[in-house]
Amino acid sequence: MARFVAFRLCHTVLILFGVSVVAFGLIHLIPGNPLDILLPPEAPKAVVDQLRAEFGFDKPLHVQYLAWVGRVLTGNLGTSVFTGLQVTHELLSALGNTLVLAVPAALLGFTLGTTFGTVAAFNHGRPLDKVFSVIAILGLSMPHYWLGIALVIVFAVLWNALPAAGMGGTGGLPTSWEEIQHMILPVVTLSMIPMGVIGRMVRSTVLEILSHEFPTGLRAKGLRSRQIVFHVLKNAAPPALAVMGLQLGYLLGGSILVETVFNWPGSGQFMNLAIFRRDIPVLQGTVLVLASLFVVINLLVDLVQALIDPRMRR
Amino acid sequence: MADIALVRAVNTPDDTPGSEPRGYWNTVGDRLMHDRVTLGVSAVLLLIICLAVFAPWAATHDPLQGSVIRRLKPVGTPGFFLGTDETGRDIWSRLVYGGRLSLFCGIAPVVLATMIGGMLGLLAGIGGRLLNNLIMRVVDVFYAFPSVLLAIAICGVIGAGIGNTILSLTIVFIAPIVRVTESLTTQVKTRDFVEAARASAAPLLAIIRHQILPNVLGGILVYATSLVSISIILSAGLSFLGLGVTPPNPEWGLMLNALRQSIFVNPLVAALPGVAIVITSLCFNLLSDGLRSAMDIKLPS
Amino acid sequence: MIDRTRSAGSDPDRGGPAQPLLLVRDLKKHFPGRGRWLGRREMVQAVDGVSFSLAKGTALGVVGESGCGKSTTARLLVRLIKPDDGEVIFDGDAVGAPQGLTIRELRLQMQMVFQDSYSSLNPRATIADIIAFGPRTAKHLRPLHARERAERLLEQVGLRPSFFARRYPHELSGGQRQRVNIARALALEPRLLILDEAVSALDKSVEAQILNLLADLRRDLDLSYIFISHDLNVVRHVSDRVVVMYLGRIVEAGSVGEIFRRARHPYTQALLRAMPSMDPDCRTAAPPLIGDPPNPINPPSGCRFRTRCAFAEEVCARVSPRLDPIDNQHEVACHMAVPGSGHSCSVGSPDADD
Repeated sequence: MARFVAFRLCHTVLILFGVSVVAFGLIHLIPGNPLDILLPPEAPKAVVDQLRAEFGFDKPLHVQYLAWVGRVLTGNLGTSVFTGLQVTHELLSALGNTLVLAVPAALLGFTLGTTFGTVAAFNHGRPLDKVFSVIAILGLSMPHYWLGIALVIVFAVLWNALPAAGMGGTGGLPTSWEEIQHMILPVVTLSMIPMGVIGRMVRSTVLEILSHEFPTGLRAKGLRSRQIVFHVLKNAAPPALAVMGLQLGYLLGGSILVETVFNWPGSGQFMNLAIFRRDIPVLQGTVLVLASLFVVINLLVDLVQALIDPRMRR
Repeated sequence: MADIALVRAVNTPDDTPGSEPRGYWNTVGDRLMHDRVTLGVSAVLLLIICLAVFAPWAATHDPLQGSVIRRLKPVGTPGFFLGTDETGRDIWSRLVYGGRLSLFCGIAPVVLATMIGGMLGLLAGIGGRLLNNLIMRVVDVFYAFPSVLLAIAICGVIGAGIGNTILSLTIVFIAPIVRVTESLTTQVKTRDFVEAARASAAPLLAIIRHQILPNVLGGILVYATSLVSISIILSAGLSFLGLGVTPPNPEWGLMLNALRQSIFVNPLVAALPGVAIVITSLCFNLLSDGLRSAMDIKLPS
Repeated sequence: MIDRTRSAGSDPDRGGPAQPLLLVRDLKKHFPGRGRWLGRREMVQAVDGVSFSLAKGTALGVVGESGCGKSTTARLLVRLIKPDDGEVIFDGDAVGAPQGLTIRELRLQMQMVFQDSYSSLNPRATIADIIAFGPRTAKHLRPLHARERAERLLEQVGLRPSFFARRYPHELSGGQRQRVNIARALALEPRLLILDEAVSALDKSVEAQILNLLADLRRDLDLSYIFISHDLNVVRHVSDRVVVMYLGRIVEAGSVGEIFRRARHPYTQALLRAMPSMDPDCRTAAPPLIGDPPNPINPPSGCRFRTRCAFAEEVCARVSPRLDPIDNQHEVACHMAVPGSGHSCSVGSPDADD
C-alpha cells in the first residue's frame, strides 16, 4: 500500500508540473506580444521597454517560468493588471463563493444520483427503471446553463418565488434565509449533471453486480433485502467514488457557465472577467489553482479507492 | 487405442445450420434495425441535419435581418411561428441556420480529435513501454484539466471565432480519446489471435490493419458518438460566454445568451435555442447507447 | 486425403536426415516478479535450462502440470518471448545468430497451433481471411492465390470450403475452430508444428477426431510435432518421444515406451499413477503426490522436486541433478538414477537394492 501511495504521489507531482507549464504557457499562445494587450499601440518605446522589464518579458521563457513558479510556491499568484489587487486573495474569496455552490450541488447530485440509480437497478425492466433512465439521460444531454435559464424563467419570472441572480449577500457562507434563497436555483442547476452521471453509473454498476451470483447466494443464506442492498452498494462504491471525485472537480472547474447565468461572483466568473479584460496574471493563477485542485481531488479519490478496494493497488 | 479407432470412421465434422454468413458489422446492423429507440433517434438526427444542410429552403426569413418593430414577438405570431428575437429576427430561421454552425462546431472537433487521438492511442498501445509512457503522461497532464476549464482557457487566450472554437475543442477531446483508444488497443493486443498473427511472421502494419484495428474501431465509434453530444453542449457554452462563434452569426449558444436578456419579456422564446441543443445532444447520446448495446454481442464461445 | 501440397517454394531439407530438426540447448527465461522496487527484484524462473532435441518427422510430447513452463517454452521457441539465455538450432542453423536464421525465417518453418479458445481467432474476420492472412502478409502471396491456398487447407483439415470459407469464428463449434487453427498454422507450409494444449479444451470425441487429423497431416505433409499437454493419455497416443517438465526444468526424457513403461523419475512415476484407470481393481485411494507445487519464484534448492518426493535425501537439497542418460535415448534428472551421486538408492552405493 505504501508503495502505491508513493508511486501516486510522484505521479501527481509530475502532473502538477505539467499543469503549471500549460498554465504558464497559455498566455504565450496569444498571437503577438503579451504586452500589446496591456498597452495601446502608440505607447512610447521607453514605456514598453520599462513594462517589459518589470513584467520580466525580456528574459528567456524558462527563466520567466521558474520565476513564476517560485512566486507561486510562496503563495503569490501575482497582481491583477486590471484591479491592482493581489490575485491570491481575490481568487481565494471567489473560490470560496464557488465552493458555497459546488459542495451542496455535489452532495445533492450524488445523493439523488445514487438513490435513483440503485432504485432503478433493483427495478430493472419495470417502468420505474425506464423513467429514471430517461431523466438521467436528459440530465446529461442538457446544457446546464440552459437549465439555469429555464429554472429562472419558471421560478423567478413566472412565479416570482426565487431570486433570479446574484448572491444576495456579501459573499462567503450563507448567513440568512435571503442568501439561501439565492443559492437554491444555482445549486439545483449545478447538481443536474452529477446526478445524471452518477445515477447512470451507479445503475449500471449495481446491475452488473446483481448479475453475478453472490446476491442470490446472500438471499439464499437468508439475508433481508436491506442487508443485501448494503452489500451490493459496498461493492459498487469504489468506481462510483472515482466518478464522484471527477464530478466534484468538474463542478469546481466548470462552474463558470452557471455562475454567468446567475451572476454569482465565484471563481468561474472571476476567470471570465479575466479573459475579457486580458488580465494575464489572474488568468494564469486561476487556471493553475483550479486545475491543481482537480488533480489533488483525483489523487485523494484514488487513495480512498485503494483503501477500500485492494485490487486497485497496482 | 481401440476407442480412437472407432471414432476414426466418424471423421466428418458436423455442419452448422445452413444460414447465410453474417459478419460482425452485419450483425450489428441487424440489431440496430430492430432497436426502435435508436431508429427513432437516428431519424430525428437525420431531420435536424437535413434542416441544417438545406437551411436556405427550410428557413422562412433571412436570419440576419431584423426589424425593431418586430422585436420579441411570441410563439405563434403569424409569419414568425416561433417568434422573433431581441432584434426582430425570425427565430425559426435562426434556429435552422444556427443548426449548421452548432452541428459543425459539435461534430468537427470530435472527428479531428478521433483521427489524431486515435492514432496516438494506437501508437501508445502498440509501442513499447517508453513510447507508451511518453504519450500517456502528456495525456495525463491534459486530462488534469476539467474540459470546460481547458476549453475556456484556450479560447480565452487565442480569441473567439469558429476556427478557434474548433481548435480549442479538438485539443480538449484528444486526451480522452487517446485514453480510450490506448486502453482498447492494449486489451486487443494481448488476445490470442494477435499473438497468432505475430507468430506468423506478418509485418507489424498488417497486424495493426487486419487484427487490431477492426477490433478497436467499434469501441472508439461508441465513445466518439457520446463525445459529440458533449461537444455540442460545450461549443454552445463557449458561444454563450462570447468565446465561440461571434455575432451576428446564428448559433444556438449565442442565441441563448442574447435572449437571456429577454427572459422577462418573452420567456418562451428565450428558451427555444436550448431546446434545440437538448434535442440534438440527447439524440447523439441515445445513438451512442444504441450503438454500444448493438455491439455488445455476447457471442457464443 | 493424401495430397502433397508442399509447393516448390518451401524450404528444402537443409541438414539431411541425420540432423535433428530442432536442437534446444539450455533455454532460460526468468520473468521479473512483483518484488521490491529497490534492491533485487524477485524473478519467476519460468524456464530454467531446458535442453532437448527433435528428430525429423517425429513427434515430441511435452508433459507437466500447470505452471511447469511448457507454454513458456513453446513461446520461446517461436520467439513470441525473447529468451534470456540458451540457443535454438533449427536444422543446423542457429536462430538469431549472424549466420543463422532470422526470426522471420524461423517462423516460416515453425508454426504454432494454439489452444482452442474463442479468442484464438479474430472475431471480425472470415475463416478464409484468417487462414490467408499469413501467406498474404508474410509471404506476399497475391490475394487470389492466398485464398486458393486457404480453401485447399480447409479441405485438408476436413472443412468444406464452399461452406466454411465465408463463415465467422463465432459460428463454428470448438472442434471446427481447432481445425481452422491447424489450417492457419499450415498455411505458411512449416516443417514443424508446435501444438500448445491444442486439444485440451475439446470434448473427448472431438479430441479424437482432431488427433486423427493431426496424425494424417503428419504423414501426408512430412511434418514434425512438438505436442504440449497435461493429458498423458493424449501424449502417449501422439508422441514418439516424451519429455517431462517440472518447475521450469526437464526431469525425464525418453521414447514413449520407455517413459510409460519404465519411468525412472519419481515425478513421472507419480504422474503415471495419477492417471485414472478404467480397471476397477487398479484404482487407488491414496494421492500419488503430496503437497502443492512450490512457488516458481523461490524454487527449492538442488532438486526442485524434493519437497514432494518420497525419496528425498540430503544430497537432493545440496546438488541439482543433471539430465543424464541412463539408457539409449533415456535421460533422467534424479540422483537415484546416477551411480555415485551420493543418494542411497543409486547404483554403486552400498545400500542400493538394484
